Amino acid sequence: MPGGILSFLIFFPIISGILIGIFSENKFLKINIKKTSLLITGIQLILSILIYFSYDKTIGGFQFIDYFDSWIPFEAFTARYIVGIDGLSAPLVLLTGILGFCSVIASMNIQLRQKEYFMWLLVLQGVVTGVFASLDLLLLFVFWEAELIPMYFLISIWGSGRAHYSAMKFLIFTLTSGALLLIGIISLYFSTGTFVMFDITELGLSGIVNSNLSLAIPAIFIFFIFFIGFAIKLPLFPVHSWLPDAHTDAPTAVSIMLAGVLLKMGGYGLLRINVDLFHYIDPSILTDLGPYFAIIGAFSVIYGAILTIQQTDLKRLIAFSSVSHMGYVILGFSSYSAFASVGSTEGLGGTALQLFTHGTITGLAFLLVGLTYERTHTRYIPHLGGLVNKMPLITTFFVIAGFASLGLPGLSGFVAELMIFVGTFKMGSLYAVSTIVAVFGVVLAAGYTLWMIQRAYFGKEVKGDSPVAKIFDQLTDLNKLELLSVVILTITIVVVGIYPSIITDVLDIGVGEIFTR
Amino acid sequence: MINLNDILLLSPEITLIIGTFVVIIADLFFPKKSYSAIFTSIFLIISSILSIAMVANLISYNDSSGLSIINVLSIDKYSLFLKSLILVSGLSISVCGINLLSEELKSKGEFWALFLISITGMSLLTSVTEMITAWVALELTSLPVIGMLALNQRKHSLEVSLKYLILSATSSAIILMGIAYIYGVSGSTFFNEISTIDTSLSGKYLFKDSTNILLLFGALLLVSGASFKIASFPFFSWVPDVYQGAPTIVTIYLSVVSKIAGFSIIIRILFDAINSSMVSEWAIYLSIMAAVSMTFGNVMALRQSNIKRLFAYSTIAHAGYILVGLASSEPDGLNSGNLAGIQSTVFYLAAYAITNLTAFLSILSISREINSFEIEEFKGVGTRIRYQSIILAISLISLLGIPATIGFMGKAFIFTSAISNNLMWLALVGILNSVISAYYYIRIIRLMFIDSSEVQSSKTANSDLNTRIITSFGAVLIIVLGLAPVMLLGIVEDVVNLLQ
Repeated sequence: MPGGILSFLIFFPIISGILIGIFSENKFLKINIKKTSLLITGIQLILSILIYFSYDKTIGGFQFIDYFDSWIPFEAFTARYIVGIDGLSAPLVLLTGILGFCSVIASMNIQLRQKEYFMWLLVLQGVVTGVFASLDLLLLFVFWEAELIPMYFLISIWGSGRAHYSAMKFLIFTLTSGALLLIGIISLYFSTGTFVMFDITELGLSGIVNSNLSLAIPAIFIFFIFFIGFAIKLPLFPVHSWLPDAHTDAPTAVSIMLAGVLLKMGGYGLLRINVDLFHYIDPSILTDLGPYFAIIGAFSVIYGAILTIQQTDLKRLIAFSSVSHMGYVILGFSSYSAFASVGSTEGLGGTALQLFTHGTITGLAFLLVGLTYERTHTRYIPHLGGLVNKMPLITTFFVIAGFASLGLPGLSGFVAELMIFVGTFKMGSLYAVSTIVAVFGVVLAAGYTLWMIQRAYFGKEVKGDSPVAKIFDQLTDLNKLELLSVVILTITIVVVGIYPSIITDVLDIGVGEIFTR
Repeated sequence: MINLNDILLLSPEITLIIGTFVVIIADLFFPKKSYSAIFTSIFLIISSILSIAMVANLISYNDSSGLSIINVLSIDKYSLFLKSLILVSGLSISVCGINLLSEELKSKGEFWALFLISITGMSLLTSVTEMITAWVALELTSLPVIGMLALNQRKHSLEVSLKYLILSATSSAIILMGIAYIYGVSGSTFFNEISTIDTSLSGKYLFKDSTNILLLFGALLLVSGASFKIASFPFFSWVPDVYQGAPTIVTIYLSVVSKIAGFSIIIRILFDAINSSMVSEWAIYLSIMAAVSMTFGNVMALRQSNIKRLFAYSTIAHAGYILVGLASSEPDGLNSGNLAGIQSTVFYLAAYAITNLTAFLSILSISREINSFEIEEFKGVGTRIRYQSIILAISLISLLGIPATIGFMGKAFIFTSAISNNLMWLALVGILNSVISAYYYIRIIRLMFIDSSEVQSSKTANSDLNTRIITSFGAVLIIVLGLAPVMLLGIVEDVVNLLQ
């Protein structure tokens, strides 16, 4: 691949989005915004697939590096522009490409203030790619915070319900997580003397070049600052309350990006900083505290699942199931051990895979809920029922997404959850107890997923005072473009389920390098 | 004695004084009233060019000592940089004032004469190196403002003017008290002589054994008095009322130019006059000033309904952020060459000046169209006055400190300096404060753009052309310097080098 390809992947949607925002509708020029956006994200999709498959597994390490020195040469620190991907981030860049394309397809019915909408959607895609590709911590932070503005506008202008409230809640929570992150990043800088990730992993503790050791910010403080920052984004109980609101009120495409990609920023941060970097700074923290994280993870799984069962709004239900599924991420995260035991690599590999699979599965679920809502104009489950007669395709794909979400063998969710369970179980007694508890999360998942599909899509046709009953005869199924996006996501789910090596081969390199770099 | 060379060095100020007379005289002969503002702008342009040319010259010759005028004024890179910032900000205000000043004030030529006198004082303030001169320059900046506030001749403008007068007098008294203490201990009013007194020996004059503590006390009185100028704790109670009641042009002037001048003299006193062994002691006092200003400003801003009042609280908060940088100027940094704290302070000061000027001028021009300063009335201006609203949004995002803007870079530098100087608690307070500030900044953006569909947009209006040009320039600077801060950072590093 030519040099600069990763920078292109980041800045192409940002710049073209801004150009659309400024120039698409004036006296001299009229562009079909929807088709242009589709084209741009199509290019992004193809490029990210190409980049993913040309990642050289025999070499490993960071590849496609773009380097620009002296971005900020401040007296107290030097920040560089460095982007590149390794085994951990490559699948997430691919995920962003896939979901970015699908989210544009999901936005084809947007009428209100089109050019601004697609501008923000494209900017969002570029910025999120930047988060996964940054190798400089300050650069990562810049992308991390820059994602806020597009998200705020997308939720509050094009959202429904209490959109302003949800958008502000999202903004405040994410700003808090960003604030913690900034403190962590700066503290880390003063203990290691660099912002560049692979410098930290190379230098480790011996790399304390800052002579000002009186600073003495304890590593455990930095660890928890990062952990809380990422936990807000993930989100983990008790800082999850922004997620259901933001999801419920966001437009479909934004829900897809939010659940599919933005939550993964939290998981990626945990793997990249709290595991990868801290393996070289102070591996004892996570090794010692692992069991407690396992307990938190298992609790989050069960707590999220119990909340999910009670939901009566399709979108809110899937949002809460995300809280439950992100509990598995913490569970797998806890299985880290400084000595690279067998369980540890499996558990972390499962975590990384869970990020990818949950992105595709929940992306598909939100897409289908959005398509259903466009037709029925309600997401309230008691008002739905018997939709299978009018929407056989939507129902079929929703069943696939549901099965994948509850971990049916042969679909991608199963592989990731199995790896996490096996990896964590091997680690010792407290881990094993937590794993056993968390396995019941799968049972609950089967419960809420199947019950939801049964109530909303199968069951008796709605009658009486339900608003859907009046328009039931006019309900239509998927059109070709919608089918395309649904099929892309379904293929990803099925292929990864049947042949997981397509992702895990790359992930294993990334996870292995945590210990052997 | 003053010679010809000194007159050349003082040419920016001399230009301004000539300008003052020209404006007063022109007011008698030209009936068309916008001439005063145009003359003011012309003289400010000349003065800014002179000042910028001198600082560019000094930077290119790498001259770090600067030139001294009978030990009272020092014309060096640091003073010229801030002087240029002050003059360019003043120029932006006067150019926008050509059309945007209220009709009542337009008919009064002396408004612009007072404006020029006050700017002269601020411009002198950046280069003073002697206590009495500093006090005179401070008075020269404050007294004309009292006149500018009262010129409207409305009931509340007199009230505001009186409020400003009383607090200004109080702060002057406190500054004089501080000067007296320092003189009593050191026997001198010259910065260079004060800084070289041997604090390990007993006091030269009255107070033996306690020289150090008295010198410090004097310096803290000076800084407290100057906090009136920068609108921070302890002298910030006048800010909301005066900002709201003043003509907007004066509000902008107070919130931007006055703050630069106030900080320039505080930095001078702390770095040039006070012995550097005392840095750790005043750092504690500055940290408290910073923490109180930030928290008070941001919390009070949350519930404001008038945008000028909101910005009054927001400027108090920003004074707090700048003080964080000043408080974290490293104790031994002056010797080891680690100047991160002072660099971040000056960088943030410049960033704040650009951003707040852009924001406030946009507000002025928008409120001219909608005839209101109530935040609720900003509903839907995003569609009606689109261009100016986008610029206002950019500057608000920069004030909030979101990446890709200069405001973010400033905050990142400030908080980094704080953490590197063991002021973790202060950095935490500051960062949490910027999270709080998201609420009120974003609320304005939301009202402008997001609620616009609910408003029956009547007609689109174009904002004033001068304002559009100046604020566009500001918005470009906000983003360009936010992406590549190295351009400004390089100058700042060079400029503060000589404060050792």
